[in-house]
Amino acid sequence: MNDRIYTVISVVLRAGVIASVILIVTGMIVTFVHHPDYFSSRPALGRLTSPSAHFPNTLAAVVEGVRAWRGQALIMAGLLVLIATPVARVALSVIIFAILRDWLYIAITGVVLAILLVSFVVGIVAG
Amino acid sequence: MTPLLFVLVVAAISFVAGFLGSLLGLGGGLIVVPALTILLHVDIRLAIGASIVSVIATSSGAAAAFVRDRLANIRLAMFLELGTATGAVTGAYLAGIVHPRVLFILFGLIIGYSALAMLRGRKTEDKEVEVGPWARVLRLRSSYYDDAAGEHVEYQPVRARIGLALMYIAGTVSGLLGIGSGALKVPAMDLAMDLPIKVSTATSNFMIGVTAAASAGVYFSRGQIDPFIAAPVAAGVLGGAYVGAHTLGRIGSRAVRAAFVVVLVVVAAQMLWKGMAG
Repeated sequence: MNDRIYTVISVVLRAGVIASVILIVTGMIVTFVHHPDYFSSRPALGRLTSPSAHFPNTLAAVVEGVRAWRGQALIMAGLLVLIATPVARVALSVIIFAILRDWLYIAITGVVLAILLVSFVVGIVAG
Repeated sequence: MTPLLFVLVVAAISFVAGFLGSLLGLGGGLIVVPALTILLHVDIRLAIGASIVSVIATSSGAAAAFVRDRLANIRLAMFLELGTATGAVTGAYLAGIVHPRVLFILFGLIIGYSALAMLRGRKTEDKEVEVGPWARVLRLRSSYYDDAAGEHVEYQPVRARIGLALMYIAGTVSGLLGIGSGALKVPAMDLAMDLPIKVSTATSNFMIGVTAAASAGVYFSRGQIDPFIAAPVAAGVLGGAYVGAHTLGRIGSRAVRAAFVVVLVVVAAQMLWKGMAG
């Protein structure tokens, strides 16, 4: 019984990581293809890494950027998948413990998931 | 420096951070933040955003292997996450109230003490510790196969309540100071709960992703996650964590413990320095 939890969680983590790596690497390639000057231009780096650099920081902007096949938005989508992976892992644990009818651990993981979701949502809204 | 070279340098440094982080149960912010700010002159706010990404990448990158190999104890992690998650909320709430300099000094001292305590090692042979009702009800007993020792290791976590309380403190500190709390989680599990060192680092590694994910939303909407910096960090750390996760089983427990003590001393020094220099 215990084995199933370990297998499912391992698979979910791996899937999240692989999906995010694919998006991040694709985004990186697209960025360099769109901006060939990044291979040689020194001032470009200052623009990209300055605190006032422009990059998507809302879900809507990321979705829109991905549709337009923009490199930075693809990277952001990959980073968001990466951030969501541990949350998905906790959510899935609740389901697995529910299937196992393990009430104590349904309660434990349920509380952790609730705290995570609340702080995640409050963070995005209030941040 | 050209953007291309920047990406390659950051990815290489992050690979090392992911490798060490996955072995020792830390997030890698310890390496990523100073490398970005001091070496590459990146703004501290963006460096901290990249470090949050690094923590999550280390955790997820290594945890798949740790979970499969049973090095991470899932039940224990879920139970202790109750403490770290509520602690993180408390920390975020207290952030404006408590002066960080005092905390840096306080926790520098605590971590320095943990380093000493871990160096001395445990003397579990001396007396049998009572398992306690919580650890029994929570069914925390588990086992893993130790490649380096070539044997199956069975262990029974003890003092679950104290462990939970310490995780609450660790979570509060990471919420307050914005540091990955692996440096507090591993000694707590090692010293209080009587776990094998590899189980402590792997379980800490499994947990840190959840704590970091809770605060990542804030950093994302504040615009502190710069894709051009975070992309090579994530890719490098994931690669390093993957390699590290497949190495931990094969290296000796004493080497892991020794490496962890060295890192604790460095963290303690960093925190004391921040506390005193501001």
